Amino acid sequence: MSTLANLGLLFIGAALINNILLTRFIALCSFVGISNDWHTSVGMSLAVIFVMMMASTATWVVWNFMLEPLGVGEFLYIPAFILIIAALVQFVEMYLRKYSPVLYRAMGIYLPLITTNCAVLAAATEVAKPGFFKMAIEYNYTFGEGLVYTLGVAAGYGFALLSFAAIRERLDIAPVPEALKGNAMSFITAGLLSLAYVGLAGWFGL
Amino acid sequence: MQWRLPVRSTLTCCRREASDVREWMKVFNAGLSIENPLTILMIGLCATLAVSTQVQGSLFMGVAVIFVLVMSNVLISAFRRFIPHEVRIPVFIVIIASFVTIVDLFLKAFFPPIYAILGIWIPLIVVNCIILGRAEAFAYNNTVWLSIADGLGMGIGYSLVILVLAFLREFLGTGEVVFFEHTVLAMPAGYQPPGILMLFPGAFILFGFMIAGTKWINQRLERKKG
Amino acid sequence: MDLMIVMKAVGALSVIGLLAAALLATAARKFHVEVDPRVEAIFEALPGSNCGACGNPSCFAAAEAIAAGDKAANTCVAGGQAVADAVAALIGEGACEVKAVISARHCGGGTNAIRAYTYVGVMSCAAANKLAGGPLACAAGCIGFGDCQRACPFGAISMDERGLPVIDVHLCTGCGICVRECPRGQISLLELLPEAAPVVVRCNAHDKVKGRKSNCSMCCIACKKCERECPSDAIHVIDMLAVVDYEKCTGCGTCVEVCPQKCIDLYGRDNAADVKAADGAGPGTTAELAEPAEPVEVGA
Repeated sequence: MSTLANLGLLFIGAALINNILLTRFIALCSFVGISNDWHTSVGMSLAVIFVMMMASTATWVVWNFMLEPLGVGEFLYIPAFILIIAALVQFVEMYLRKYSPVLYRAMGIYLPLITTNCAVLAAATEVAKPGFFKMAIEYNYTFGEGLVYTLGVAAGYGFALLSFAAIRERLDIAPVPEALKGNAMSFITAGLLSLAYVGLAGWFGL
Repeated sequence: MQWRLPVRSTLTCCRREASDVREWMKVFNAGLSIENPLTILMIGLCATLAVSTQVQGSLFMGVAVIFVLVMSNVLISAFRRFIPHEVRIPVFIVIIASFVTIVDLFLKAFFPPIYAILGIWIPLIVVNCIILGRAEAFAYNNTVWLSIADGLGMGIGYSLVILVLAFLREFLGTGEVVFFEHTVLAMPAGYQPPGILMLFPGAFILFGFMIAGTKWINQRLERKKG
Repeated sequence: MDLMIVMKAVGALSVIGLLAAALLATAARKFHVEVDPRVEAIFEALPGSNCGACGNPSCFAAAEAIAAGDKAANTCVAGGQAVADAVAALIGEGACEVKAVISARHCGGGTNAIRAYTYVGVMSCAAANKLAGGPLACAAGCIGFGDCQRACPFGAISMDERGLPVIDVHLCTGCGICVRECPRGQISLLELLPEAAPVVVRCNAHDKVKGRKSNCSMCCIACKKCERECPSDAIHVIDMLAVVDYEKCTGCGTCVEVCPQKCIDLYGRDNAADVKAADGAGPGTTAELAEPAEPVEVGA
């Protein structure tokens, strides 16, 4: 299989088939909390793509050049990766504030919120530490594969979040029974969305 | 579009003066019922839905969350005067990460089958919104005594909900509840379990109905009161 | 206990921590942004509800615009005179006046209004209005699906049993978002009246009077009785509709009594007519003047 096809399948796998939100349940808090407004969802998705790419790069480098050679990775990866992500987010926030005030204003409070976004930690750890998601398969990502995988995860997150936000805006004005109004209805809708993704399961496993 | 967010209960956000038992019980009860992290505050959802395929996994998840929550609350509350405001988030995260690592290694060593079930959700307890949220909102501003109450209340509230969800999913979804290879409870023979409950969509939908149920019960209770 | 591995772990984490700290320290210095100190102070003075009525995306953006001199001190309508005075003091300008206004609904239809057709679809006024001019027979009446209620950032609007929006005059800050959101706001179905407006005409129709009564039983029939009876010459029938001149209106209530259609109401903060009383008695009752509420703060 040519490398390009390999990478393409990796991207599709990460984005749609193993969609991080709807088939892995990661980052649900932001999913439920942000998706009641379309515009904030767009902002959040862009911010997540941005931060995730940088985070995976950093964690891959730190794991392969520091933690693994020293042999301390097994138990140190959690604090190490989270420190890196927190520092990166802070750095990005400061950079944006200086060089792109418009973008900074647009992303607003979502930048600090991404530090606690499970998806960023999950993707960053998967790329660096082998076998994070599937305990059976240990797939060592090369640097390029790691980047493509992360881009796929972020794209999948954005796609699921935006479709959910669009549906939720319409649910807002639909005649829903009293007890089901609000979060309950959103969850049931998310379940139906997830059901659609189940149809893709097993097509490409990773 | 309504811009209003639900008003935060003053129970958990204000400073506390005294630390007698009634105060403790009030904070403890808040986490269980009116400020239940999962059904009311809607935080800490990721792990809940993913882990609730099995009762045994959920039990250990609940215990892990209680442990990390109480320990981190205690530590952060004890050192709250020494943690500068600007760097408080990284400090919280490192403290929480240390306790999660303890849980991670403990489960890996003593309960390997549970570790295999829970998988990635143990490290993801670090970014579990409940723990960071309570550290920021409660432990940083209150005494150690009350932080224990909050941690226990929230943790037990979380565990109760996840256990109910897991029980429904496993019992109705597979027809039996298995605990360390022993079948504890089983449906009568000839029961055709709806497999959807064990899959991800089933979790979403079931949880949606659970929220609706809690809301309905709360509304009925409020109507009876007032 | 293997001391080597403990040393390695401590060492590795320390290195990562130091690197992160160095990165952030250099960033803090290199990316330092000069912030006008007045912006912070002005932001504190503003209500902080981010309602967007001033045209700025957020209260912080408004603070920046005011500090930069792009907007005047009385930009924030929702904050009222108090906020304008505070902001003016901060930027060293003389006091400027904020016209205190509240929103009012010029319609008494609701269940009184005849439907041209049964509408089934997205329950939004804007959507319904696009379908053959709305489900009401009257082209200027209130459709009642609650777009204004959802748009109000201060929670001042609620829909009553008649299907009409009730504006809580104590919560209304006069920001004007409901007027913008209402598909008939441009033809003054919802209008910003002076805060102390004592009366309001509950009709917005400008079509031929002959057919009006078949569209709605609560309409103004342009009989000019109010115009004749008003002791202050404050109400006139202009363009087939009674219009109140609030500069002259004294709130005597004569027009309210003489109107044969009963389509003029007592209104405004002095009367507090459009507020649901504590026992839920509905609009049209007089309530005690309560302390005006603060705008609801959106969590940052």
